[in-house]
Amino acid sequence: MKAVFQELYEKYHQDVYQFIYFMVKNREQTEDLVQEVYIKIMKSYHNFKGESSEKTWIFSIARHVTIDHFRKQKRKRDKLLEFFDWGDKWESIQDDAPLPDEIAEQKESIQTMYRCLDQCTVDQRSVLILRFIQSMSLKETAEILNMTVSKVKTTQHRGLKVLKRLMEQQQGGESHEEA
Amino acid sequence: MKKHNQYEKQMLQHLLTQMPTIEDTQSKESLYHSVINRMKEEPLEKKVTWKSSKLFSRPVVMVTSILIFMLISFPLVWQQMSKSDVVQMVRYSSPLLKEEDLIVDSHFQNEVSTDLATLQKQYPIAEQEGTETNERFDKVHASQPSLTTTVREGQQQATVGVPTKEGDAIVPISFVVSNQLATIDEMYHYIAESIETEKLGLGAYLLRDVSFTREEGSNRIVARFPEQFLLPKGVEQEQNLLESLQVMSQTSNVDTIQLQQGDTPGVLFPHKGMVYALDLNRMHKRAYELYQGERFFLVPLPLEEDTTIEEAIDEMYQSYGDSKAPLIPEDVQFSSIQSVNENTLAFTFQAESSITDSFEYIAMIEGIMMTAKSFQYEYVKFYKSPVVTIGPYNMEELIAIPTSINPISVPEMGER
Repeated sequence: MKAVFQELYEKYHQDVYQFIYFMVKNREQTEDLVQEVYIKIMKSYHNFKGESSEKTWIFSIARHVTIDHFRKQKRKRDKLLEFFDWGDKWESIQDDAPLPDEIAEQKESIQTMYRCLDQCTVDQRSVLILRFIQSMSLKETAEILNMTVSKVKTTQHRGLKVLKRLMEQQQGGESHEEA
Repeated sequence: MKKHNQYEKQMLQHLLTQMPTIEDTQSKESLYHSVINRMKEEPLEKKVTWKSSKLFSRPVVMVTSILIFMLISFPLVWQQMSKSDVVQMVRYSSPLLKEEDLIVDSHFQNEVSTDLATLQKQYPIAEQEGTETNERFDKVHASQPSLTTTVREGQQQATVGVPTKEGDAIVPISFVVSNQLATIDEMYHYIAESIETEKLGLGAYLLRDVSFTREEGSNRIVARFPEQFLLPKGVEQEQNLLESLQVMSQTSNVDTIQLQQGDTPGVLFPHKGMVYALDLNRMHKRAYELYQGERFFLVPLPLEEDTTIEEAIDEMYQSYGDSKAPLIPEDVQFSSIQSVNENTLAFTFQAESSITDSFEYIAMIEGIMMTAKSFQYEYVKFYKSPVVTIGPYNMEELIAIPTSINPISVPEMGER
């Protein structure tokens, strides 16, 4: 088992970690989810038939684990909101999360984009991360996300449009504040 | 609605590629131990919760299931009984459909079969040289003035999905015949037997060996895969096969496709897993683009469910793929797109929009209508159109959205 773990770790760990991190944007949660991904992989590795590439298989597991996490989070959040009647305060708590060091060291446009990614839908974010941050092909992205290539293209296009609008809004807001 | 700025799109993509690497702080060893520990713990946790919940919930689940089953099945059985009486009265029993029995009813049926030269004059290519779109409107445009048609009373339609040659989209193709000439089962049989997709410039028909039967008195089609049916191994091909089935939602009054392999319910797909039925009733929003095979086709672009109609129309200014062209040229702009009521969508052209009565704009209008249809509209109204008619459409009147997409005629299906 350790040999399988080591092999997969060397080949994919950094990419899987990065994908999950950009989806959830929290180190602790990412570490927890990455562990879950390895558990699922190791439990079903003997069933892997090689009908898709190992890479897309592992990433589609990572994607499912992340989506499950979002669902659980949403259920928790809904319960909390119902209980405490927090309304919009939840959104501001999310927005105020500190930037990780790696992002904080970057230029402002990258920091803004990092924040804007949150406003895209889960599908749009997944496509943008896989296509541009992870440099995956349309075909690989389609396989991982269980979408057709044309769906990936339209989701990518719409995601970029959302980012464009948000980046422009942010820019407008900043220049307004400066004035 | 809006022009696209390529530079900004590239800049955004560039910024995304500049995102720094976020590295994991936990070591390989500690990760491995955490994973192993969790693997040991997980089955125990599950066992305890499952047992307690199972014991508690079993009687509750059983009683609830029986109640739900009774509530659902009683009205359904009642409905089926009353429907089947009607169907038996009107259903026409004909021998297996023959090629000469298939009639495609299009707005242009007569024109297509008569005189191409007249059509060429009637629907000339828009003269705007040099654009990529116009270069594609070549040999086939004149013989194909319309990409849609409408099923009238006494007719029925069967729609099948065929992948493009590149396999990057599924093209819906409709067959419309008189009710008296064929049952829907016969039509599907005929399609599977005789469709020659190569002649249409499309990829292979993936459901050739699948037989379809409509359950009498219901809106359900049973798709029977042979025991030895070779399911596609790649994810993309599997998705194309499932999408080819989804496209059948455009067939008259079909809302479910039940899958079976041989006589066993369900088909086990390598990636998707076991699929028993496809619910076609769900709303699927789409925009359209133009695909050129040996003729032109409207090809759907699946959209997310939260897409607005304005965003969908915006999608139609671009195309995705080498053999595809956008349906709305950049020099056609709308100043507003508004719902008049729940059935009607109104478009107002901007004053400087350039439109002519040519195939390019017939395709545009039909693509817009089919997009509106996927948003559940039944009529469209255009305001401030620079021309009064575009093909069969009077731009000053309320236009009923056609029911069928990419109608196909007998000669295009090849000789048997």
